[in-house]
Amino acid sequence: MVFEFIEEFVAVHNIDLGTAFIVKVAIEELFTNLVKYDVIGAADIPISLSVEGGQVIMVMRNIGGGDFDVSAATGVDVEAPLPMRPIGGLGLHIVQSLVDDIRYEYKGQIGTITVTKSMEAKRA
Amino acid sequence: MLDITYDGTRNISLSGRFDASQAEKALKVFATVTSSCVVDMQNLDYISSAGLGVLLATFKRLHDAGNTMVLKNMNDCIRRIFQVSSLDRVFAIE
Repeated sequence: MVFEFIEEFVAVHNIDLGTAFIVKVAIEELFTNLVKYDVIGAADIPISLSVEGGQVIMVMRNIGGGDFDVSAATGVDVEAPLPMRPIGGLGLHIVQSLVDDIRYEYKGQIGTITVTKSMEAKRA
Repeated sequence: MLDITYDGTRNISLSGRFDASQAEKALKVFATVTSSCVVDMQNLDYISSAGLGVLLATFKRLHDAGNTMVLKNMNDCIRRIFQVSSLDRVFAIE
């Protein structure tokens, strides 16, 4: 259901394929992370998407799911040799690498994640 | 939805979306792979970190036993995911 919403947004705003892919990756990875760490199952996670000044802006609110700063350094060593490469922990690293900016604020038991990605090209 | 086809010898093909909801199913199939293999991603639209984790865990196991794992025909978006996670330097990619 989340992805139908993203597909519709991408189509309405004529977003290029590269940017659309990054939007999907960011939403999927952040959402999955929030659900995974919501141990009491209380989180309500509304997502909004908008376009402003050639940028896609994604806002996710983690309501009641605890304080988890997704903008902080992940500590994942992606240059480690194969035996030392961790199996997990890549999601946030990937998002942080692909988007232009990611900000986090925790206030009143609500974590707000704002992700910005400039559109890469005009869609053909 | 992810479709995985394994011919029981060497060839695996992935199509659809390889996301967190499909990871457990994928892990069960990849657990049956015990020798060198080629994974065709021509019809794979999307892969998440969960999907990367399954591929990496499989590769580590196969590699430790002296086997190879080649990934082929990935689209440009998926290739970018491999690049930013530096997994393009871990896997043999065609």
